[in-house]
Amino acid sequence: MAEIQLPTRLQREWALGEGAGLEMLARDGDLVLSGSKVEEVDVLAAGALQHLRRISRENGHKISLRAPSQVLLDRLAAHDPGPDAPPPAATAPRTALVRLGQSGWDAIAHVSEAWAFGVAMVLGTWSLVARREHAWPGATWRQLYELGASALPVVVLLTGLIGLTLALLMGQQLAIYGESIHLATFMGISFVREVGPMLTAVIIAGRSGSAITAELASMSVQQEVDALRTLGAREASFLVAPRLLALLVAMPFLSLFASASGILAGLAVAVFQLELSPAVYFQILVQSIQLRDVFYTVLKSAVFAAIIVFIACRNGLATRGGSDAVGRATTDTVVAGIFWTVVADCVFALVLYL
Amino acid sequence: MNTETVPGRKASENGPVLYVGHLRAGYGTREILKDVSVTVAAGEIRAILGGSGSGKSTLLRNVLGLEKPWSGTVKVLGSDLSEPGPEADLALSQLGVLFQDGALVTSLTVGQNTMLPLVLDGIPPTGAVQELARARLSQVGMADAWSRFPAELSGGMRKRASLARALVREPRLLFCDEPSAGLDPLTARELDDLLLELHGSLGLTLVMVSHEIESIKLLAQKIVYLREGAVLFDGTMQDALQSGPDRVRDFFARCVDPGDRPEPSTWETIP
Repeated sequence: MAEIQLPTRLQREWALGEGAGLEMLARDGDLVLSGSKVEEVDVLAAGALQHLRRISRENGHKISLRAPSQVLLDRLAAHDPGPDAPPPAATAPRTALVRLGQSGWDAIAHVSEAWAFGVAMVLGTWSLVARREHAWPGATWRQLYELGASALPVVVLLTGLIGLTLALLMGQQLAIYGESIHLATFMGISFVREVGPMLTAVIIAGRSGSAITAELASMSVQQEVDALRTLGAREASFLVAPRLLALLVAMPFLSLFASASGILAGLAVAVFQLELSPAVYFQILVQSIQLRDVFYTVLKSAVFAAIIVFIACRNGLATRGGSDAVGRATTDTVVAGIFWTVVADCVFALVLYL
Repeated sequence: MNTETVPGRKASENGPVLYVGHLRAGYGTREILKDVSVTVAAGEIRAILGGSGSGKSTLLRNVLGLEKPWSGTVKVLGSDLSEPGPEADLALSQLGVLFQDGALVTSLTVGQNTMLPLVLDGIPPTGAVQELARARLSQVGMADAWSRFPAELSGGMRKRASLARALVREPRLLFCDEPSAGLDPLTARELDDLLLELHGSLGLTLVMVSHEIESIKLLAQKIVYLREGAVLFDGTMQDALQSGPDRVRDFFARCVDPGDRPEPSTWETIP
């Protein structure tokens, strides 16, 4: 058992120096602090003493004050950290099997919840179209503008730039083999079948998907969604359906514009770098694209739209908490939206072109 | 009280407007309400109060069908709101809710927000609906804010607008979540007066969740005092002040629920 004489003034210097050094003693055995001469205890020193007491108890030792001055007792009472927290309840370590079962169960719950949301989304949209339930008049038109029309410039510009880049690369390679004329074939097939719809999906998942999640998430956080429910509105038809309908209509158009933009960028390369005539470019282009390809593009884009709206609305409406949760939900939407549209695109490619 | 019979309004005209029996509820695995029973008769002004963390808001969310109770019965105007269906829709059409921060739809103007309940019933927001919304907005002193968006309003104005929205269907029952929280004392008193006036003129049953002592004293006829998820006191205001449990009388006397202060740790002293 060690006995320590406390100085008259217990201040910052003592707390950080000698006081902190006493931790070792408190850890190793019983400790007596003799405090009869203490006249001043500052806040940090009081904290250091309380900390010594905690360390001592945690190591199963005793710490006591010998003839403490009133000042010391008062200061300790003023900075009392409360009763010792009860030891954490011993949780049985979870075996690998239990963990596996738990995550399997979570996955099933997740899938069934997603399924229920999907069903509610379809039914809600049907109720809105059939006029059994009502959104704010013109809500779909507003979404059509916000999610679709206002995204057109960025979609057209980006696909045009990527079209230009790809056409420059391909044009040079084709010229080596004297096949410059097939730049039109390459641009037509790649942009109508793949690059147009896929790039549009990525841009829309980032731009409109995140916008949907951010708006719905902040509505959830501010109890607006709760309020709507108590007014008798169902979020599937009031909030989700207008967004779904708008993007189902807008995405195919955006994809077609994107494809056209890329093809026109290819034309610029063909005319200015490869010195082809526009008429020849278009002639080859028309030969290479089939009507079936355009139909698949429209179909694919509509599926991408449904995937993006599904993910964005689900993430938005499931948001609980504060503004940090809104940010997290938005990030999730962008990542999941791009991931699942790429997966869907891959499935389309396997089904259509294998 | 408004006793005229309206076609379609069958939901228990005479029974209690709100019945909660042995409700257990919580979030995830955390139990918040242990065993709560409350009955509110038509025409009453009832305050649900208690310290923070006592389960007031959870009770309201379960009553409104926003959470599913673990067990027990909740009947609002005769139907369980957590079971969607025509019965719940009928009950929802006869109640209004004033949320804590108003919860107006941010993308709609004040006027549009006020018309929203009727639009959700399938009535286009023109003509009669506009007039009704204007009437409600002037009743709460917000007629000038018709074309402003919620983001442009102060907290008190948002609450008033939300009240107009809650009243536009002429409900029989109005729930208020902390009606005066976050308002300056003057605005808070104005809102209290407004609620009292509406209770008188519309025969509204009022259920308010609150911990504002002044509002409760002014408005409530009967109170339910919650503590740690259970009902500590249920009775009239007078009984609460005279013969209620110490904690309830303390609450009214000093505006605080003292909670359980942890015992201070003691240092062992030796001479």
